[in-house]
Amino acid sequence: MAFATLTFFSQDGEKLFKANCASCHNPVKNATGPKMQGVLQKWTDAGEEELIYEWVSNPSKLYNSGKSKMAKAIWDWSPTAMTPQGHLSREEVESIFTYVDNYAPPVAAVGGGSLASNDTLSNNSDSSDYWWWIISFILVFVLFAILGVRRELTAAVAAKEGKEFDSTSTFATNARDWLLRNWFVTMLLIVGVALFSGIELFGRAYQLGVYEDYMPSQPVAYSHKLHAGKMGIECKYCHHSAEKSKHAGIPSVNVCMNCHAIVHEGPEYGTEEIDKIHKAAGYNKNKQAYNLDEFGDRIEEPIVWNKAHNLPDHVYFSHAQHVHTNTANIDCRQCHGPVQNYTLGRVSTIDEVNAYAATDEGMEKGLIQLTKPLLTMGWCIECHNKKEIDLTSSGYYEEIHKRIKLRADVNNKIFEDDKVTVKELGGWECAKCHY
Amino acid sequence: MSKTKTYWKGYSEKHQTPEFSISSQKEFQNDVPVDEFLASDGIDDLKTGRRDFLKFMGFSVAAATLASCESPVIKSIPYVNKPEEITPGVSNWYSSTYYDGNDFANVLVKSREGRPIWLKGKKDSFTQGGLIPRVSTSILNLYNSSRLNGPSVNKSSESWSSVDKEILKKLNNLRDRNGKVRIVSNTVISPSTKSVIQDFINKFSPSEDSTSGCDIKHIEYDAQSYHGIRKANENIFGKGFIPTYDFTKAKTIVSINADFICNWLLPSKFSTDFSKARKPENGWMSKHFQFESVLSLTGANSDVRVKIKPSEEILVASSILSSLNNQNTNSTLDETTKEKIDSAVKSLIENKGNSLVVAGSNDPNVQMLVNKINYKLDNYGTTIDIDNEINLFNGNDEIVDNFQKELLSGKIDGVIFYGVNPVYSMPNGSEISEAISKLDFSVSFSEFMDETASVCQFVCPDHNYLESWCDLNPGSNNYSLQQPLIRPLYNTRQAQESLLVWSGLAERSNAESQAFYDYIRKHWIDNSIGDQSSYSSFADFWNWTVHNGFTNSIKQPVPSTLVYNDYPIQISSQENILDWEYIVYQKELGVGHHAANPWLQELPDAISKIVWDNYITMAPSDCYKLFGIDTSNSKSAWDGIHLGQEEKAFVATLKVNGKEIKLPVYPLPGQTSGTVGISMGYGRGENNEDIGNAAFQADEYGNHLTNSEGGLVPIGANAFKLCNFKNGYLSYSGYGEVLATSERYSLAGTQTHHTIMGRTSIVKETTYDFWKDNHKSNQEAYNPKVKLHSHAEGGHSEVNATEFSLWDEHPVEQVGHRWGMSIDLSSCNGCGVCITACHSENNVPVVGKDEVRRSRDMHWLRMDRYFSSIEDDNRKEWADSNKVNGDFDYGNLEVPEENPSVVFMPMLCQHCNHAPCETVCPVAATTHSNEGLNMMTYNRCIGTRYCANNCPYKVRRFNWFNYRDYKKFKNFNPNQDQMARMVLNPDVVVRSRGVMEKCSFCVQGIQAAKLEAKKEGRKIVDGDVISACGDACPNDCITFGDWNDPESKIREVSGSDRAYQALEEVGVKPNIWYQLKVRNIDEELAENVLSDESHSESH
Repeated sequence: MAFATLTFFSQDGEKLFKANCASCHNPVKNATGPKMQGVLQKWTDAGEEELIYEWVSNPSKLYNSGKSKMAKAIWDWSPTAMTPQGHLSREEVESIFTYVDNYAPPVAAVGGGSLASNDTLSNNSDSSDYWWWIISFILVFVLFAILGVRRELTAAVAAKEGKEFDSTSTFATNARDWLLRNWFVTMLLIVGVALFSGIELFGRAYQLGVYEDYMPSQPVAYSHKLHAGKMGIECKYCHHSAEKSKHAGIPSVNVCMNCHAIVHEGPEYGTEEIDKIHKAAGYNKNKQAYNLDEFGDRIEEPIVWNKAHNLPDHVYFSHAQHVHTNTANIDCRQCHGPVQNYTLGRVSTIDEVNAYAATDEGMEKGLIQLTKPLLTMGWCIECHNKKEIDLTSSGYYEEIHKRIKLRADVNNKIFEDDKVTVKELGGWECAKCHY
Repeated sequence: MSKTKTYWKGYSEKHQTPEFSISSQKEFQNDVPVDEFLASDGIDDLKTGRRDFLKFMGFSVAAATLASCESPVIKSIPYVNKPEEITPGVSNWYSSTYYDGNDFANVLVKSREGRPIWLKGKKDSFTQGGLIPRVSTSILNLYNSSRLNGPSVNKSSESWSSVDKEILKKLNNLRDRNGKVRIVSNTVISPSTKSVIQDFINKFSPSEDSTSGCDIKHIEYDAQSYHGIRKANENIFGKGFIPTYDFTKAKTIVSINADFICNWLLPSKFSTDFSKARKPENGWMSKHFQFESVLSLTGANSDVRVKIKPSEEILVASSILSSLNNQNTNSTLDETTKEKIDSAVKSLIENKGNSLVVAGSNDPNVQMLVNKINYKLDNYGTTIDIDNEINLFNGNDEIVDNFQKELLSGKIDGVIFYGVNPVYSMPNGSEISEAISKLDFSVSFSEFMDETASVCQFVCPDHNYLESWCDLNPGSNNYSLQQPLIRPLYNTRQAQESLLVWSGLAERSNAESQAFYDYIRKHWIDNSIGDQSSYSSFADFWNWTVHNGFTNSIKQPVPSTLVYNDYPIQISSQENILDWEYIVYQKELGVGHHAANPWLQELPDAISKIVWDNYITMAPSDCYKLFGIDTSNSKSAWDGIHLGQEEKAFVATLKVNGKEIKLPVYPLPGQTSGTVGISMGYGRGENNEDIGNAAFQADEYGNHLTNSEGGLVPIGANAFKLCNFKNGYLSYSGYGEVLATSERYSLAGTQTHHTIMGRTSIVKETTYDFWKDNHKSNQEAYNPKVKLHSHAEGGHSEVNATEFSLWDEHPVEQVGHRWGMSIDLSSCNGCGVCITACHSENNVPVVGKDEVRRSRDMHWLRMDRYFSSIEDDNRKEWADSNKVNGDFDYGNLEVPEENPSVVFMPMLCQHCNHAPCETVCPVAATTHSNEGLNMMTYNRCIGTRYCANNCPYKVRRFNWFNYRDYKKFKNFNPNQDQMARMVLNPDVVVRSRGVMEKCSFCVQGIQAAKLEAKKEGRKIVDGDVISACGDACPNDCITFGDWNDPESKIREVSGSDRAYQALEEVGVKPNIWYQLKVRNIDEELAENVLSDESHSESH
């Protein structure tokens, strides 16, 4: 019984953690906020077991009251003030800690290496194609040269033997005669070429408008690999409108400044790239203050990014519908691939997504393996056909379930295979995405 | 003796002229000249053969394919410092207030990423959610790219600081030499603005310190004057005020030429109030008599409509008063009018104390008579609230007249114009223009280089209302706030701030200057405006007031001590020297502020359905007479069937006091014979003033038309020229001459685009008394189900049309969601807000006059207007034999079709569950969703237009052009303007050429509401989803919701006793229900012609 309660709390805690804490905290790694595993123990050790709840509900109040050593320690540790979480009840905070303390990071290492090798592989194949073309060109050249020599020799022999040499016969006439004599081979050849070019054309046409692996250059050499990978910052910390809006959003500069007001130097480019952010925000890092104009407004300069993920205008895609915990609750990597391995924003490829989905971590997140290229309609509807909906997951779907049960034929059709997919609830209908 | 009621959209349909019958059977209004083309000899001489053509085609296809492989790099610029309340992709709503001197409305504005893109009336406010098309479309005025960018001196641009310097120099100079300065503004209802103006006056008037100072006065001037009401109240009650009229309580309403639903005084409030008393379910219904000359929207909604001439307004009012006093009347009114006056008086007496009489006339004598009638009926204190005044329209015609005389005689040294355009709106505009240009000092605060601004020395452009802070006090108790929605788009400065700067009370800072904002707050604190004591602090109070958009002052109104004074009224009988009477009336365009607003210009006039134009309205019989059309022979000589399309309208000249106006004539049923009407608000920019590209006429290639001098041609003519100051008030009617010309002019109208093929079951109506008696027991009596004859099983029986179906039942009727809509025809008054709201929400293209003439208007929602008239068979016989039939002479009686009743019916995609459009689409671009929506997939559509041909409601629209970048539309399509493009709704795609489009039930809103419900883990409830038309509807006619939810409102109303579906007999099972129209008339409705016809058709 106790165990059951614990699981319940822990599941609940996971949801709460993701909704409220995960944007700054990682259970096992220091991020914007300190790692959370063992935090409760630390406060208990410091004799401030009760104060931690006050801290969560209003950190600055506790700090200002001066009664907590732990609060002061955290305050000194990080310049970023924690967002007050006053809406969480004590039970909810407890459940979050239960979840965090029982959290075990996924065992399998994320396949950073495999991606790199993929990259090189594709490069290799590109250059080898090139060599094949040169070799075949040389071979064709040699073939023609030999045939020319042979023709000269035949003519010479004919002249020597006093035979009449048909000077009108050329390569072309010879070839035609040969083809006419061997008509069956000719037919086979024609059919073969037609088939080949047809298939090739079809395959190429299918690649039109497919932007897999598209990685536009950017004004700032931002690295997801560093931020999301190494530092483990949750995607939705920066792309925070993903749960609220159709856009996940390119983060505004003030989000960068949450950390970069303090962090002035990066591991790869030093100050060069971070200075660009400071310039955009109108921040003087030496004075640690913003530059103001005569009216007291910040002198700002927006960053013009290049958009990586582009959908046609006639497609309406909503991030909130897909990633909110109460809606589809899909992991970002289902569509964006192992972002923690990329530097700049980039359209992933279906192979990368599938490779990630096959890892333990991917499987734990319930990622689905798909076949169509990313950001194509085939890919969208393929997923809508596979992704299941739990009709007991929320009040909205319970109501829908209730109504489905009214009609036996509809009910039977939907539950024929014991699962309800997005498609079965209308996920393949035009006006779900086109309006 | 039998009577039949017929419904018709135009005279040609009414008379079933041969041309009409042919045209109604045709798929295309114009013949497609295929035979002609193929038969032409030239076709053989063409250089391009079939093979060449195919080669070119092949090349272009290949080239296009290659070109499309390259995808453009799309830039994305996030905020530097994202405001906390903004999430990109999510709309924010802010309350604000619209006021332009002519219209007032509390509004809620939808903002996306900082751009206001849509608005609706604010329900809980002074105007109670009321809205009129002018306010609904006002959002587009913000993005007009002709707005001035910075101040100018004598038309050359200057910086604000140098303009301020020069103006101060002039002002100080005027002060030193005791100059005469006038500040001419529209009615200022803002307490803070009043105070700012007073500060300015104090600064430059003689003071205790110095005797030198300007003679400086503030004059309020309204283009549409309501001086008559204030003057009448001053004479009768000793106080020149406008009371609040309460149309919700009035059981009998008599209106004499007051178009209170669309234009009179405060239509945004009155139209809502009026509709509240038009729902029979209330247990009572107001009875509305309208005496008027031009068939107005209010007249169209009346129960009893009487045609009078403008000069008869005073006679009608005095007859009513005499009847109430049991005196005899010897008026010259005709018998029909007298009869209707008697029934109006009877009804007024029955509802004594709960009735209301209003008049649109600006003549104080008419208004005094109306006051006396209302006093006699004890309406003061019940339907007329004298404690709560309406502060709008404070202009005093006597003062204005005096001002213009002084101006013309050169007695004034300087004028500051704020919110007015007298050069356009004064009767003698050209003289005033000349006088202003001679002035030593003239300033205009206009947003545009308009008629007045272009003759002023200094132009200091004001902000748009969506960029300004202002407080407004429309009525005694109410203080509304105007809240800016966007940072000023241009280098403009709010007029109040300009005045503050010149008074030395503020300094010009940057675009985000808060000078006037701080002033308002201080003014509110100092004068304890609003309900401040209910809040803990002023900041708290202020934030809530900004949030709510208004506050009600807690000051208890002082019980009025008005004393009734039986002021004598002079009814001067005017000499009828000339044959014609004219009246200058207001319609959709108002007083002309919105002339360059393409949404408003493309909104069809509620009655005539004409777009983009101004015209002379004339009774059809007068029109035939004037232009010598022989109607006895054949109506097809000119029956107006294609008027508004290829048929050109006749042009007439109206001569009044030596002034001439030449306009096309529109034969309007319901117009009083012997009168003509011209709408004000047109003819803006007569001298090429840059007020916006859409304000001028364009040719069929989209270029502006030019006149002989190379100037632009304005739309319509300026009717303000016909007004005149007489006996101390501004009169909008009078006598004139109407002369026929040989010219013809193309009008564009949506009137006759679609015929209903004799299916009159589309509208249903009944009378209130009949409904009251039958709605519980016998609904079939007034809401008959359409029956079909069944010969199944050998028998012959009548079966409800809805029971037949070619298809199996669609599962949406029970499971999941099923979106449904219900439209109440009884409370719908046809104002057109739904059309403009849909237009802006769904990025519907503006196509312009020429395309409308080709019946290619793109409105997803149209307002069908049906005339109906009751035919008396005896009259027909009488007319045929032209002699007295039986014992009754019909000779002098009104012809019913010349004063028809009107029904308005919003028509949009009915989202049929058995949709005929879906089955004929060869590429499945239009399909049915499991939520009952008829989906339209633009990217799949190949433009065969089969669907449009198969739609029984004719609601599908085809994109004939790339409206967003084809040159034909450059001058008026907002998508083609860098600024106006910002008004587009980012949630809805802009359609490209060659695809069909139509109402989507605002599927973007449905999807958004579902998402919200999912996020919150709850089911969808009423109020979550509403289409844009329903959301903006000021009268709550439109109910929208999930029909599959048994608790939903839509489920309830769709089963009500008034509910029916349009064209039930075609069996398409729509998801839209209509609530039939109920009129409060005494006569029994004649047998509806539809029952006969459907009977014969179904055989």
